[in-house]
Amino acid sequence: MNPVPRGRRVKYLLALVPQLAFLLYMIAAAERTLVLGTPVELAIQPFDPIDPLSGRHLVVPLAIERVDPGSALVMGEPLEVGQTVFVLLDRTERPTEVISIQTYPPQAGVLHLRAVVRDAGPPIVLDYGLERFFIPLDATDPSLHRDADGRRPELRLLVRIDGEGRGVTEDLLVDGESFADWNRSIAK
Amino acid sequence: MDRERLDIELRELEREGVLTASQRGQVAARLVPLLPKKVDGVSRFVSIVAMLGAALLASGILMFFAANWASFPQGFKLFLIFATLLGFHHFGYRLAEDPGRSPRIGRALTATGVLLFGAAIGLIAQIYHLTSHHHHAFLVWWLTSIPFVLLTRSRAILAIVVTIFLGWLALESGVWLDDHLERLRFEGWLAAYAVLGLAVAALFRGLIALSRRGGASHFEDVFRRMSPPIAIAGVYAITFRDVLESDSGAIPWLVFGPALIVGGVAAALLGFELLRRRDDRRAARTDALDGLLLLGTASLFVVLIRFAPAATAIVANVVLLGGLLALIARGVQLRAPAYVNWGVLAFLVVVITRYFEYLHAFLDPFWSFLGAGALMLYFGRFIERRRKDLISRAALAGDRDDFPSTDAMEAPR
Repeated sequence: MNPVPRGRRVKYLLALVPQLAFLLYMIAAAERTLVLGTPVELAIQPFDPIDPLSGRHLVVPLAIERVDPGSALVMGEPLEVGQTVFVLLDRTERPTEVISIQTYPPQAGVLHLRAVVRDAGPPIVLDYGLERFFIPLDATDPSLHRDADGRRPELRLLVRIDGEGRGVTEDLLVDGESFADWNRSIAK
Repeated sequence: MDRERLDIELRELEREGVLTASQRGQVAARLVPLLPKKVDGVSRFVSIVAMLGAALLASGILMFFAANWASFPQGFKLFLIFATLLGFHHFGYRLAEDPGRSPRIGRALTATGVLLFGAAIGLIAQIYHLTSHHHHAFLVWWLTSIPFVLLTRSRAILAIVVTIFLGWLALESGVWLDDHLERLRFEGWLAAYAVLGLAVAALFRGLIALSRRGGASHFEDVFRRMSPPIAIAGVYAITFRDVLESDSGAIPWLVFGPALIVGGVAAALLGFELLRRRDDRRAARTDALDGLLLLGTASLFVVLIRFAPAATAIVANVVLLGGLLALIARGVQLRAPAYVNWGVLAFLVVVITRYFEYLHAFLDPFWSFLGAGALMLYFGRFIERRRKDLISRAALAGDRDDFPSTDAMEAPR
């Protein structure tokens, strides 16, 4: 059997490097935002889409996905479908609300989320790339849950936002409680 | 008939006095080159079993993860993802290359490693609840898998990578149409993907040329096998008379944006190949001309869909039936049984579709079923007799240099 040239082993390792680098980048970017990002609570109206291909998750449409041009300033050029915009947020409100939508990046330090325009409106429909929250297969679906009084729990999405407007979902808050804690308490 | 059987029959003729010993030798020398090449059935079987085994192993691992995923700490989940991906590639390399004791099983593990990278992206996205407007994950999966094709020179891995490319192209074209055309109607989507299918088939003809140029002619077979069904599906989609005849307004030009980009790349590759091979083999020029013909057909449909939508279905039917007959003829000419099979199968599907589309509404169910049954039986008879004949003619002298077989999963390095 002929010995394999050393260069061949190196080539295999080099072929793996971009794949490993991309996975590490995904993890590092998300962890960085989760550790350093600003937390905001966003109102949602979730539902379970029962999608067998993607793992069990809730679709969590954000209240700020639909913006009435009368309630928020639109600054810059006219909006076009597919365009990236910068949505300035008011963190003093709970849940967080939209102050304005602009087509150019805001100044450093201003809390904002990037979004893609899905419909120029009215109302303006925005896609923040925060539309899924994965839950365990055997978990209780909070969007269908009613407590003893028949009341629905209040659901919010806890999102961390970095300085460039990229958001990463940290948790789903059920009546202010972390989803994992809430699910454990329901299971008892 | 194989070599051994031919030898027996010739010896029998010699024994019966029909041939002399020298005549037997001359007949054998003339007929043996015409026999089909002996397929290495065991190697092919090992490849298929290894691929299935690796796929089942990967599925089992993923199902185990899925069943216990929620109870794993996050760090352990990430460790499992990386360990599985690296494990498949490590053992794939060891078995196929160094020391290389089971090359086919090793390649199957590497192919599964290529698939697992997509699963790894999906699982990490799931851990961090990540979604994306564009399908960048598919793009990265496709691009970063190409080095494994070049390193292993495996057709099976190339087929996987080309499938990932097609997935990305289809998904990203959808995003493009969504972003540029608000509330696009069904016929717009259909027109976009139909023309895109033809453009992709033309691109594959260009990639056949690129494979030859890059000294990787054994890759041609993958593109040759994948281009007919894509082109057929593209034209078939617009053969239904009611779909594009609606008077809901012209389908906008922008619908053809993704097809224009793919078609532009294909035209550049094909034009370059045609110029370069002016004095070269006829088969090579035929490939380039086939590609340009596909682009011409795509352009014809763009014009028809835009300006004469009512005529599109009729022209598409004529083009499709003519194209299928040409495909079968080309299969015989190039000795490519796959072309014959695709041609016959698609011809059957088209006739059955048209039968139900045009005649079913005018007939009582009784006559409708009788007619359909008779049609199916006729085609059964046709396939039984004619297809075998065409296939045997196509495979008569084995595979030619410009249409290599897929008997071996690997090409020599």
